Amino acid sequence: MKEKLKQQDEFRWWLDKSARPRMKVGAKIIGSKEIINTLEDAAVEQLTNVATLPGPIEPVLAMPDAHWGYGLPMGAVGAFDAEEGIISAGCTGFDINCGVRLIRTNLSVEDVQPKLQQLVEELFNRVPAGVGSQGKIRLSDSQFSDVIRWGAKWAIDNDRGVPADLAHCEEGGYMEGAAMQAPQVSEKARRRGRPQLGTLGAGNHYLEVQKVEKIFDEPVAKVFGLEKGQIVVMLHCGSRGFGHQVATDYLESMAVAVKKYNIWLPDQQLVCAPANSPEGQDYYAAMKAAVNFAFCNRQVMTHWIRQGFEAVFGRDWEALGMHLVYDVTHNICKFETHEVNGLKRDMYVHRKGATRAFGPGNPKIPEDYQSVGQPVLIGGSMGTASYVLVGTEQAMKETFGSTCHGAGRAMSRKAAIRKYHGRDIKNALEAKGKVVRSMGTKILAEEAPNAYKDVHVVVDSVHGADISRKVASQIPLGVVKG
Amino acid sequence: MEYEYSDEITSDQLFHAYGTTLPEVFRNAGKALFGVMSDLEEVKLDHEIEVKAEGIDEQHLLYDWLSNLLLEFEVEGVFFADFSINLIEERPGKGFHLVSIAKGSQKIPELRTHVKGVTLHRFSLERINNGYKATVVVDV
Repeated sequence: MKEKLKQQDEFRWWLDKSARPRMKVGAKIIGSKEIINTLEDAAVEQLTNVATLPGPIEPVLAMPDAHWGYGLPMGAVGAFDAEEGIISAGCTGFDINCGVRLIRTNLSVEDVQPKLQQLVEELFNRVPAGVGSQGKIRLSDSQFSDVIRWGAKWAIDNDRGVPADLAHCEEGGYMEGAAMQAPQVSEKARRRGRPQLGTLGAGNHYLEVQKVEKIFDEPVAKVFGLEKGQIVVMLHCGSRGFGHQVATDYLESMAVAVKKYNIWLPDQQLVCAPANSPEGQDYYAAMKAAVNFAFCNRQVMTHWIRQGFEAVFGRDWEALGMHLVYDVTHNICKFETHEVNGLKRDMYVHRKGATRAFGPGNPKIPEDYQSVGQPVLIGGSMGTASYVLVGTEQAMKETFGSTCHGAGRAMSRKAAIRKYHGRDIKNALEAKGKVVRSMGTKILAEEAPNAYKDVHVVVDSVHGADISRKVASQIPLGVVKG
Repeated sequence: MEYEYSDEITSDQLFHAYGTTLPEVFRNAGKALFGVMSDLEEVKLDHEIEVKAEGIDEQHLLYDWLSNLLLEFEVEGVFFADFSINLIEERPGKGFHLVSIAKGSQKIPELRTHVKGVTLHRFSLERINNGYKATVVVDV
């Protein structure tokens, strides 16, 4: 399929809808030649699958971090008309509202380096990590309903943060209209989610103490409160077992819906339902509950991260300047309105491993960022560089206000586990002066930095295409992993 | 062969499980699922949990059962390494029903990865010459 890609400019590649039967719209890939050379043909094939679903809005998009996944490739954006199109549990994936938040500090490398070991230990002890890790928060059934209704706002209302935190979250830290009970949100999902609030989880989720290494855009960095040499904290996690169960439940129910609505699927993972059908709207309401759980999860952990810094540096978090820069989601389906060929159209935008990148002046972004655009947080692979980008007008015109989300895998997890030993990865990171704490060392192997694409190449592509612009890059000093 | 893994999908894990009977292919798929996360030989079978499943057909029954195993692993904190499939029956008009005993330990072995969910991508349960073959891709 890759041979059918037509290069439009240095960072844009087009796949016409004639590339295969049943494609309703064309597909676009953002990336340099180097990115396209390493992209799997199967990932391009998967992109064309999405274009066969009912009601897509041109184009279906792959970002430079795209790689072969299940259903939709990771690093893809699929927008569907709000009337004629579909909502897909399969396109959104399991880790609903997996996302990243960045907390700034007033501390410099010189302040933190001597206490780094102690700090990482403190954070590791305060933020529960690992699979099925039981949180420190005990929730009653009605409190759990409040969590999935109010998201990060629940945490703020329960003294785990301040209202300013909400203003710096995508969607203000919660989506309205979340379902809370069966039949939309199953008892299974509630059972699985209840003990997991305030847990980091395992796999690719992590918490990093980072140093701002480079500033690319001084004025925008200033608006975001970032400067060279400053210490920041990046938290990468999602809706945990709650979101995984919501996804599982709807993969099963949408498999029935596709038969009912007679929807042809090229891959059964792309199960979906008409956007305005009861099945579609039930999923959307349940997905919002998982979205809210994840926002709350990150907020609760932010509270503990601040407490960890307070314990180590002996000052309260406000004095340490630990304000939230932003919280972005990179696995979600959202109802949005975008201009297409001069007309405003309502649509459901599926971002699977892709980040919203709204430009300046958009009412959906915080007031203090209106003049520059929203922060876009790009987590590199564990132990490598991360970036802060800013959303652009070009993204609004071209990609439904979307950009990449991370480095993107270049090697399968199984291959990484076979090739690397977790202990060696830890030693290599420590040899570079980084402090690593994890539940075990084996789990580090699958996230070996070499198993990922080069995050710099990915970011240079989205910057080159102007669908987001580089503001700052960070390197990790300390890593906490599940 | 009970089960085998394939690397062909970059971000996720594919496996095939085999069995001469339906209960056997289910059991082996369960073992393959947990084998993605850790070495099953290290797990003592000192804890048992009853796990049920429902499905409109045998394939959906397998999907529901594997998903329920992940749920019980997280909620009950038991890492499973073997399974007894006690009942698979078709109830007229109600689809298939399964009752199993999942065996494992509350002492969770060190994990090399975490399975988030069972995908429907290439998911199948098919009859082959001498029994059944299941194909499963899990999100890790």
